Amino acid sequence: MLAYSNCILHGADAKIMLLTLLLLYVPLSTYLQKHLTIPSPRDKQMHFRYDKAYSIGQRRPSEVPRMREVSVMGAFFSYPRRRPMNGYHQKTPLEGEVRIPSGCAISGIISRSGNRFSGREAISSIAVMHDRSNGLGGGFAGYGIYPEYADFYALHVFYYSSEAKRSCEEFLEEHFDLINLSKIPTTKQHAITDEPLIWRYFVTPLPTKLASSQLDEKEYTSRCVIKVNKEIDGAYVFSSGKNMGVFKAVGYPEDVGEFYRLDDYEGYSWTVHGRYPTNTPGWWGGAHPFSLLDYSVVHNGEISSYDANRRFIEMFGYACTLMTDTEVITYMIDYLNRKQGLSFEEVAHVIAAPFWSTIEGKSQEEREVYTYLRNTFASMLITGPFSIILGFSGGLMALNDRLKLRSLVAAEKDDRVYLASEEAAIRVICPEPDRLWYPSGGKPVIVTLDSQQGGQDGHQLPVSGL
Amino acid sequence: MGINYLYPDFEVIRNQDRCITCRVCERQCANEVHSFDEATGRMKADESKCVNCHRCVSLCPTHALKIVRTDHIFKENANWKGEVIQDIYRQAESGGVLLASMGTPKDYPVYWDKMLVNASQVTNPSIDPLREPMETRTYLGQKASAVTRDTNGRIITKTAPQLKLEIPIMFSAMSYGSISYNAHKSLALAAQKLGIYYNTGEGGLHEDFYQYGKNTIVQVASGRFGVHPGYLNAGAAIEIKMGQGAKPGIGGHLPGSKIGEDISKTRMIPLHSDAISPAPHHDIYSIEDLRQLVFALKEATAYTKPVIVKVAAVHNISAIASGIARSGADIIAIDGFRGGTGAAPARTRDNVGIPIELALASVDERLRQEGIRGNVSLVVGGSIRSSSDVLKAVALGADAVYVATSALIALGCHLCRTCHSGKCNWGIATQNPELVKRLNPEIGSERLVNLITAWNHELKEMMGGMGINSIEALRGNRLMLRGIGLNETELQILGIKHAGA
Ligand code: SF4
Ligand code: SF4
Repeated sequence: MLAYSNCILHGADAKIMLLTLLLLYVPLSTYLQKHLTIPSPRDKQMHFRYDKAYSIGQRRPSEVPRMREVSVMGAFFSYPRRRPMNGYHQKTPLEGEVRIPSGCAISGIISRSGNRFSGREAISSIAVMHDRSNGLGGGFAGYGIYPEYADFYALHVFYYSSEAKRSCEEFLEEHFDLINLSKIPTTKQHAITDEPLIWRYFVTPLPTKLASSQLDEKEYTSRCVIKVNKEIDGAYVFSSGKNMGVFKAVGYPEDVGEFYRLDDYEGYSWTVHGRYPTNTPGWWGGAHPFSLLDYSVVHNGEISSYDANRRFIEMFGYACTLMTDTEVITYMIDYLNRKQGLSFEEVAHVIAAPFWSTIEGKSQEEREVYTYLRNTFASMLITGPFSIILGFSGGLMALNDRLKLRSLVAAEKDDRVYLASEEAAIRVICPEPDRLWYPSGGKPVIVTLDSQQGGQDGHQLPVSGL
Repeated sequence: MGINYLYPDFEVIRNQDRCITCRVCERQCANEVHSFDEATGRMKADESKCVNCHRCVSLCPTHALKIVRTDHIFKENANWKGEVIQDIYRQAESGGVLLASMGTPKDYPVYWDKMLVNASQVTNPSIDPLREPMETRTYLGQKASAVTRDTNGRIITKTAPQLKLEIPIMFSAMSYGSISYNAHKSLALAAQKLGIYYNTGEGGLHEDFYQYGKNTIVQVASGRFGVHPGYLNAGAAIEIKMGQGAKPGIGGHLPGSKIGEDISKTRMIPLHSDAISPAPHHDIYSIEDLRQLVFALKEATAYTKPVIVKVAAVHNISAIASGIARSGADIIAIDGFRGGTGAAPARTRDNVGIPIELALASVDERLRQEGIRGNVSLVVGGSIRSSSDVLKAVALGADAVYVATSALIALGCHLCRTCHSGKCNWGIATQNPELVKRLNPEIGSERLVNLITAWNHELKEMMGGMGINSIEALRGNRLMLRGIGLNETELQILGIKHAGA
């Protein structure tokens, strides 16, 4: 019980916390031993590896060099960690150790009237772009798929050991009411192997814990998710939104769709991703979509601003443990939209800011706003090629880099809007769209449910960026 | 008179076949090296006075001259090198502190030269700056930490005062007094043309230069020379000088001989009196005092100008910078120990402080760890020699850089390192009107504009190579750098990986 009692620790109750810890000196020392040498993702990865190696009778390396600064007080603040520079060297770097660039295919579908449809269309769409992935990662995000649990956070978790599952569930019970838990149903696929345990929890923050944390519900939940991912060895929460879910794996996306039986889910919007990493042994957590709370991002491209973005966003309590572009993009969107209250259109003006020469040509008022956004959030500008589809509750946003260095197509038919890397991926599920267009670089296409017009985010047009 | 133990460092080699005894060298040399020998009808040279500034070499119409290092040597000794012995002779003679100028000539590591830059291949296209927009515009100043909106939901776009730079390079502080009127004018004109800023240094602002106020940073140093409300409001920003890289921890001294009429007026001190800047600001003995001065200056300028605090890079620079970031300052300028000076005690210049690369890396990282990097902009100086130094500084985390020595070299400085003598043959570090007029501000400013423009082209070229088309995406982007020949500790402080990793 003590083990996680400091996970939401603030200045105000820090003293009490310390006192408690002092009184419980013996448990404390055990606690410290157990939890203060928290493995970095690298260690985490190695661990999986050792487990495997061990099981086939190899000798387990005696010690993994660990250098990691952990502050008890700042349990939530991700001070950049030193990674081991020497000692045990691995032949092939793993996700989270190095940056792995990748090319990709993306697709997204939304019904503006909120009609729900199964994941089948997303599977058919991505299957056309088979050549854009290499079997090392695929995934889906569906929105509106859990109407019966719409008020609860749906946590999808990968476990690499039963011990990880135990620790994680212990942690979840400490912080949430668990409304429902189960294995996520899967169907074995020939091409999908080495699957971890995949579990789903519908949860809601414990009211007492939430109150004493002085955080809002979303912030509380996101911090808990980040903490599990950072600190519980072998557990990885890859989906944490309400009435939405991410399904991802190592494999071709169409196989991943079958594996997760996406025919059985119905959502009002779907995004899907096929990954083409240049070099990775493939880790399930590294597949797209990358998600935090209701935000999910599928992304094609390699951003040249990565480390500038990462080092900036990590100032605000995020920990980029995977070293993938998508992770940093997701956190930036969460920060700008949820924490800074920017509309999605404004978010686009930050991460794919117009050139100064374009801004100069705008009206005085627009110029001021664009300049303000670009200057205030200068370090969140993304350069280099990218196309992304962002899923959020009630909508999708597609966005290209400013130079449109990655393909992106949009189409509309009746109440449906389609977004994809290639036109073929749209035509296969919608042969005769009412209109089809290529959004220009830096101009977001934002689609929201008709029911949400004039809702929380009054700045948005139903479909902009034409 | 005792024995002179000092032998000339250089030999003046004159090709007598070429020399036409035009006596240009004689007139050009303020050190009086050259003279005409009536007896032989030839030119001769007193090499003991030569500082190797190349003025005569450059102006000799027949290319009859060259200056070479003397091959006269002391008996070789790895420990007692010739220069060490000479310094002892000098001090035994004078009983004084050894004076020197410009940046340290000692062989300390230059980390810029031990970092390599990335470029795109295959997975990410490089961008051609001749075909696509490539942006280097930079705003310096505090960034808002939270977006605020008016009652209609519109973003309130008012921010703390910002400095807008078209190129992330500024001319750092050089006072009128340490450099000449024409040198100052060259800098002011160039800053205006380039859309950047030059810095008055601690000597006040000559009344002729108020017209360049929009591109001027006015400095407030411990001597408070020439500081008055008009001065503070004349510039675009105010810099509090706490320290200088070449001489951390000590003040300044401009000898009375240099305080002519103009300078005495600009500095607001009596004619021919020594201008002594105390080592500390006597109203700043700690960080809370600094805060008071920052706000006093903001009050004096109605919160319309960003305040820069300039410090020398010393051992615990990251803690100092963190304090400054919380003091209300908008910009921190850090000056590395290889930075130049018009005059400094040689021992201080050569031994005190730390390299700017390491200081920058640890300050940027520290401010991020504390989550306050957005509170301030970071400007670094202290021997930025080329566009690649600029690029690496930005990638380590700087918002902009300060250059001074490079700018003087563009104006003709030959780095003879005798600025403290006041006899700069190139009209830069001198107040002798005969010498000052050798520097034409129109030509000087054009050369400065050329230099910075050229650097900007190179910067864009390299950014494009990395697939980056805007400078903010380079800022703090340390994955774009790799170390070469650095040890673990150095890599860790710089926050970069080794080449090949
Ligand atoms: S400037 Fe050259 S040519 Fe003229 S006197 Fe001197 S050495 Fe001779
Ligand atoms: S400014 Fe003049 S005196 Fe100083 S180093 Fe340059 S050339 Fe020599």
